Amino acid sequence: MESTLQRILYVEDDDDIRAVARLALEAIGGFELAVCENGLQALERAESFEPQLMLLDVMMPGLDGPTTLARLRDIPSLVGVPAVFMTAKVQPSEVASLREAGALDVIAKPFDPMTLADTLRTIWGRRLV
Amino acid sequence: MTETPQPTVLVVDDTAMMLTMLSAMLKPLYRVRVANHGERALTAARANPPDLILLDVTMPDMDGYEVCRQLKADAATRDIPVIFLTGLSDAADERRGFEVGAVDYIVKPFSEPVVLARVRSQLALKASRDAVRRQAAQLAQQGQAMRHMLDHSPVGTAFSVAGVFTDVNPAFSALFGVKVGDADDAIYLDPAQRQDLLARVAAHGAVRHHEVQLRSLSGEPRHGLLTMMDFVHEGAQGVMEWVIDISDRVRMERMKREFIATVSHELRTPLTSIRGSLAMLAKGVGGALPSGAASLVDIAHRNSERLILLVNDILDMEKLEAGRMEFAIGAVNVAALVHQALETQRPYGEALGVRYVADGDIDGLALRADANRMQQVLANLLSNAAKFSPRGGLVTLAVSSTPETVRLEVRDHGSGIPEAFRHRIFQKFAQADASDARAKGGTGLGLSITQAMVERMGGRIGFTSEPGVLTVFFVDMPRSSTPSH
Repeated sequence: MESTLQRILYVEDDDDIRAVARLALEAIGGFELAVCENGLQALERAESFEPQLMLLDVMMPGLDGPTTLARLRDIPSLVGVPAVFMTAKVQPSEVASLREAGALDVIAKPFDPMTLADTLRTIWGRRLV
Repeated sequence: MTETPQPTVLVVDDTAMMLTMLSAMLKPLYRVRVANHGERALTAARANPPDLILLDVTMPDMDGYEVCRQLKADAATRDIPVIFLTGLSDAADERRGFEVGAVDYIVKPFSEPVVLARVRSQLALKASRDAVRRQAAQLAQQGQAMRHMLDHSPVGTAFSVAGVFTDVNPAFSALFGVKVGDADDAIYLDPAQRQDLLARVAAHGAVRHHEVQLRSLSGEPRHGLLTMMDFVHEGAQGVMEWVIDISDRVRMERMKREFIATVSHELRTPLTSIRGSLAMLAKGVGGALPSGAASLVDIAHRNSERLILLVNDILDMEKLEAGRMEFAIGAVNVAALVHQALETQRPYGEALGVRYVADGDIDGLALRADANRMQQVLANLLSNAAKFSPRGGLVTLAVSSTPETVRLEVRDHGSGIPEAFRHRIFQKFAQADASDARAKGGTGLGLSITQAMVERMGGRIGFTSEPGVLTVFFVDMPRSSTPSH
């Protein structure tokens, strides 16, 4: 198993947020990204991309975040890949239900692009605990 | 009470001598009118009813019995007491006198003191009868007025005795379709809640302005303010209840809150990319900026941060007011809480040239709260303290405890809280001085949210302030016996 986080599958339907997060993760974080506009794109690209972490928006038209994650986890090679949701809804019960849906952690929107990469590394570091 | 006028006595006798004698006897005490004939007596009594009539029995044309019968047959004269004064001493005569409605029967020859005593006693009886009658009429009138008020009141009003409605006004019927005779449970209020409220009425005499969910006639849920009280109504001991329908108000408030929540939530999507872009521009992620542009981007970035704080605060406020803010209450390690709060706040203090320090023995201490909300509480108090501290100032986060309580104090030596502002410091959008450049950094909701959160978690917040010397905001939280994370 790789010891550093490198490849992230990222799913977000809002063009501008996607562009901001992409810059934060590529330019600041130095990650390699597979950026998807919706759940279906993510399902198409995930297996061949072999992500180490999956970062998903929650509210999306069509397949929402939790549904997309459930379908991704149907792919055998992705069963153990940690997932993180990004959402503006972070009441305890909302966070708890996202964790139940299989998320390792939840990042609140609006997020800070300057610390997003570090936050993901920290979360990823906890994946085996 | 006005002074009672002298009673009038009408003396009726066909003998002039008797009239003169009786008049002379009565005049010192009463106003006396006389009539020497039955017909004249009736006319005089009807025209101006006297308080008592002394009536001779044996008279030509119309005897005393007939006069009395006619007096009693006429509503205008029926209530005038009649005393017969007669030479007929037969028991049958006397009985006849009482039969036609006399109150007394005096046989001639009579003694003056006896006549006076009997007149006096009959007048006294009549006076008290009249008083009772007047009061009854007054009461009836008041009762009618009360009924009128009840029937036209927009407040639903109902009275129940031993679980059955015995009086219901039209407003109450219209709302809930309840009729007199209906059982008071399972009609418009959850039966269990009703029992609970009745128990409180039994214990305390009344429940006032209690907000309840009601069910209308059509089955739709409505909101009401219910007042219930132990009450004696038309002679029966029971429970009176008043219901004010506040459904429209509740609906408007909910719509307003939902609107605010939706707008605020929708604002966060564009704000996420605006703030993200500006943060990276300001840090040169998009390339180095010319110095003029850099300062403009910095202004935009700072203000996008502030806008996010404001939107977050508005959403928090809405959640608190709607009772939808969730609290994951558990044991919170005070050392970890204090450490994290100070670490998080350090950069903010440094930017203002203010230093944060901890004070107090916190090892092994734990309190009961939601750890994240507690962080939010401390962040609010610590940032406020720094904001109002002079450059180079010191802000202390001090911890003390009793067996029941953990007290967290945020102390600063800044400008303090002006006397005039103290009573509304926890109100929404309350700032001491809107023109204060440093105060402008806040949203005006921070302390209001902080207080609401502390209270929802079972704590208490307060402050003391000596401007320029020492200002202390304290939060008392229940102490936890389980020193957990």
